[in-house]
Amino acid sequence: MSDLPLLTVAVVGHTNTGKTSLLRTLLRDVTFGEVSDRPATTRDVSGTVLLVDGQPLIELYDTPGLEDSISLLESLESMRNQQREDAIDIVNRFLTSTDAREHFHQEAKALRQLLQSDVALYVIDARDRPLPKHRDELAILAMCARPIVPVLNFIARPEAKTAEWREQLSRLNLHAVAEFDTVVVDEHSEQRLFEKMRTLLDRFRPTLDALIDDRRKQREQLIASSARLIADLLVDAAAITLTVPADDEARMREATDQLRDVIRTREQECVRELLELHRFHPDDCEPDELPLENGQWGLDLFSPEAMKQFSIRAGSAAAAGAMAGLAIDVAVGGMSLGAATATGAAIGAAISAGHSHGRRLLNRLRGRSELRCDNATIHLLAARQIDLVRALLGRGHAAQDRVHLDHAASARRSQSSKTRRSLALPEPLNAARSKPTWSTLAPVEGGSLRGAMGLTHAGREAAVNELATLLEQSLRQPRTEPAVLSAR
Amino acid sequence: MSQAGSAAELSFDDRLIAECVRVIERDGREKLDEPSADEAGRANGDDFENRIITRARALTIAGELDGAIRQLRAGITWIIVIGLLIAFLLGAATARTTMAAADDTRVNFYWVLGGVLGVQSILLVIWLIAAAIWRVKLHSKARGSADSAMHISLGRLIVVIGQWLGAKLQSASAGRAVVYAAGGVFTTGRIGFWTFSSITHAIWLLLNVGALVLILLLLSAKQYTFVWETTILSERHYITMTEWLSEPAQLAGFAVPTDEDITQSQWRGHAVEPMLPDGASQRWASLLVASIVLYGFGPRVLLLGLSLSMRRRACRAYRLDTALPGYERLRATLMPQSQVIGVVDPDDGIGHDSQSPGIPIPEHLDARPPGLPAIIGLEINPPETGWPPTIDRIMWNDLGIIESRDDRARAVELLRSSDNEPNPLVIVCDLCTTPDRGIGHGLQALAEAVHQSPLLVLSAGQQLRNRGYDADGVARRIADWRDLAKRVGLDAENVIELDLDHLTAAAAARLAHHVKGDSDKSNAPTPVRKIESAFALIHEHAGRWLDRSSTPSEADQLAVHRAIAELYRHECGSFRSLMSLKPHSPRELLSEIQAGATRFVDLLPNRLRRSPKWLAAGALAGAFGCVASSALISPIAIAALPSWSAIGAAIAAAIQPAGKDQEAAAAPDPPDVADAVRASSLFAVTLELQSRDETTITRVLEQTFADDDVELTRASAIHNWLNACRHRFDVALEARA
Repeated sequence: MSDLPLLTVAVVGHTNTGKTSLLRTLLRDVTFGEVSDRPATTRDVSGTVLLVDGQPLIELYDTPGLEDSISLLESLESMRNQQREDAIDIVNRFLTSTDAREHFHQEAKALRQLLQSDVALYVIDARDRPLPKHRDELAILAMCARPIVPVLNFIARPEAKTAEWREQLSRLNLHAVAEFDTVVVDEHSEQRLFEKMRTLLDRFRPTLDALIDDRRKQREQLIASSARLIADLLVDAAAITLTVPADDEARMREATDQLRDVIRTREQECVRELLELHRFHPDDCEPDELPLENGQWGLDLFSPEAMKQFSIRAGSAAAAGAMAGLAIDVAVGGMSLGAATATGAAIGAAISAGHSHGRRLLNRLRGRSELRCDNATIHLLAARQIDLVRALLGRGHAAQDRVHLDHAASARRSQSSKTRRSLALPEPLNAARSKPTWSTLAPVEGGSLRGAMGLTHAGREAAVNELATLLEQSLRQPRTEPAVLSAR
Repeated sequence: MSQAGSAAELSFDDRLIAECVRVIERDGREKLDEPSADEAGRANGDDFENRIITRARALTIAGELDGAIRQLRAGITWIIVIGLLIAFLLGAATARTTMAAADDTRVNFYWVLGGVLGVQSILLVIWLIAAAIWRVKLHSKARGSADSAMHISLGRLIVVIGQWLGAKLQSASAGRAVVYAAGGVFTTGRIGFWTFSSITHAIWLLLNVGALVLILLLLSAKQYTFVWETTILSERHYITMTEWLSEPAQLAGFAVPTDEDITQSQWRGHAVEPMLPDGASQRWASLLVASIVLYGFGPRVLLLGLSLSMRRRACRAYRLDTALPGYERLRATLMPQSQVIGVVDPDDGIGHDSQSPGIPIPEHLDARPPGLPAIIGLEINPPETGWPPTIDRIMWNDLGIIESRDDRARAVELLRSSDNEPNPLVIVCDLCTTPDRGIGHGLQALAEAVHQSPLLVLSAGQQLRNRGYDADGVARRIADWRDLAKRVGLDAENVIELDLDHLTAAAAARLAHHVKGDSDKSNAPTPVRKIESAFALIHEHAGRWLDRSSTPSEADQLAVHRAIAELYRHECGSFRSLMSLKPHSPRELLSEIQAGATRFVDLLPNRLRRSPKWLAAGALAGAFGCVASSALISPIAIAALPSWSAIGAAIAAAIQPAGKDQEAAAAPDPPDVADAVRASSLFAVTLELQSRDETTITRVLEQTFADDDVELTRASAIHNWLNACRHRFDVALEARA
């Protein structure tokens, strides 16, 4: 491990094509450098080193953009002496000239760094048309006698001219072209970028292999952890049960509000944790990037519209609006003796089915209602988190705008698939339904035997794990798939 | 190598501490982030688990946790000891009860054996089955479900009681966390299974010991006669059974009853006194002791040994599950993927504000006579409306679109050598191009070739917006271009933003005005403000729909859009050019509807485009606005209006970015009153703004319509909302001025 050679990479390109963005995304660091859509945002050369298990593997240098390549190439060409001279010698001579310190100081910094590096990543804004100035830039970079890997940025945009660029680059004998959108990343784009570098840098093959391997592992872990976080939220939401007197309208409303608040807060906490896990910091660096309260994401969990957007068939309670998302076990208030006898057999059967059912029946007989989240809400919670995680997995750390979740698209998709989704819950959540103590949201009497058993209950952990396995499958699917919590 | 070395040094307790910290951070809903601990973790330099543990150990709470773990251990040990003691006593009691036979000396051998070994043998079999199930499940897919195999066991009971007591006794949150964390570790997975098993077997072992001790005591101190009795079984059965029991005992060196002993030991009632051979009682007693040792004590000793060693192995193999969110979140801090090297070649401050010497307007001695206006595109895409832009009464000297060094040189040469001075020189640039020094150089070279400052037209604003730039972004980009123009010495008032891709009547007039230098701006009369009337119309129509309490039909919506279009009848032409509609009544109404919807969506600012509500409103306004304005030119029968499903599909196709989603565009739900109100007010505001350029339209739209969640389901709410929009509209217009 320790004898892996250290690879030095210079990130170069025309101004404002996303060199710093590329670094942000590769580093998973939303704070690296300064990113804007203006020219010459980066004016110095700064470096970072990629570590694997604490060992430095790749040094990446961000350079100022090349702006005036047409003039620079002209002046380099004019510097060519009579006798045959290697291009790199001309570059070296140029770097000591006054032009390099004055008019072309920005370009000189990039070239100087490139000469000290093993490879250049030439970042291209694929939304732009390939122009002669880009050819000139490549000609200048080629004079530095270093391998060049063109990186097509912004290829996820509809106006990207990927094919045109590839054609142009192959005419310049650049065939190992990487497509890497710094804003919209997918599972393989980063790996392919490193693989492209590997084809040109045989000496650094083990280094790049180690990095690719590490990145893959990290992604797996990220998915697994995200699934655990979501599963935890869902178990909490499925298990929570509030008990209120059946005929007390005011208390009932109060408890309903309480339940909603608790679940809303819990969801936001989950969102925060997911963001932290994926290294997007909603409050640290970009304060208004992810408003959890307003904008798209802030669509209230309990509005019937929210359900509609994920095309979850809202139950009758939800359709009523006021009660959206909450189910109430109808209480059997003052039961007559006859009715009690009639239900006697049922009670007997239910009590034998388990302790918790017995307790619930007891509550009914006492004239109490139990308030719980209904299945539609659980599905909605799941769908929203799945959608969020998929969005985060495909989000580059250079992304400047908010995570925005395309509800309209998901609604269309489920409309076209014409499948009426069942509201059945997966088995682990069904299990949680009857175990109020599994919910960390429930007010647990400290130190009670139930509490101790509930929280350390192997069952909860097992349910969370099992559910997480189910969720992992959903998380791995592309965003175009409907975000569904499938029952199996 | 070093990794393996230090990994082995980590003890089980180290991991337990880390687990406790995780539980505290999870349940306490707050993180114990201490920079010094993070630093210590990072400095560890080993694998991730090692760093987590180092961090946990470096936290201030670690000492408290250590104490709590010790306390919990002690507590559970005590409970186990008490449990074992009780088991011993219970064993003795069982033995005593079974040995207390009818008349104190005559004891039924099989009754005693069954009493002492019966239940535990059955439970042993159950344990074996459970263990088998557990093994199978452990290797099956569903993680964790294996734990259900040990739901019921004596060991579990003891541990749960221990935890409960622990939680009762621990008042501090650290102590509680330890109980839960230890609970998680000790009661799940391999460790859990073997812990429960160890305790279970230990208890049964002690029970056997208790029974054995008491039986030996009784056998030493009392005279027993061992008999057996039966009502239905034959003598043969008992002989066989006893031989089965005896064989292992005999092998182990115990004396066992002979066949004669067995036959004679049958109890046939008080009338028949058994004639026992000499030493038969001793042999029976020996078999009894041997049975308990071999069938009760023995298996438990073996299983206890196995369980303890397996538990030790499991503890040694125990690793933190670093994929748990509580650990994974630490990865960035403890195991950074990157490390900043910092600036290696600092900005030397050159060129930040470098004012280029300005254009040295060449001192041509012979001033050339003014000629045609010349037009050059600098690194642009040919505009959608064609190159050069066709504008009434203007004849261009087209110098083409220049890109390369050679193009540039040729254009400069043409400008220089021309007999006439271009009047003026118009340079068209693309707003999507970043205004950098290279472009500046090009502008400068061109400007130097002519006498006066050229007119710089910034085109393709719509494309820039389509790249996701909001109003601020576009404004910033334009400002950057103005900066560049200033740096290379162009006049600031000679920079205009004008989208040649959508050359509307208003834009063309503006360009003509700049090119010709007309001073009168009155060729397009300022339109009279009609927004109030338009909003009143919307309010009226919406009121009617609400009274009917039904969703507005397509005819209803067309009616309101038509009424609004009627207000702006005189500016119809400019509106149709803004919407890029064909000048005359369309035959293909549906494709026209789709084009209108697409164009309107294009005009929407990004923020509104992201909102499904507003996206739909934009498409609706475009679709119906297009039909309404066509109806102004040549009245089309409302009956000819396609049904909602057709319009809806056209709208959906407009909303959906081309080629992005191959699925058939399904018609969205028919719009309700709120949708219709939003669409028609969007239409009205756009018509009001039609004489402005697109950037302004988009900006005012952005500021006028908030993505608020007002329920537009009552007439009064609609009224208030329209008023609020009108107010914001005025503010937005003022801001421009």
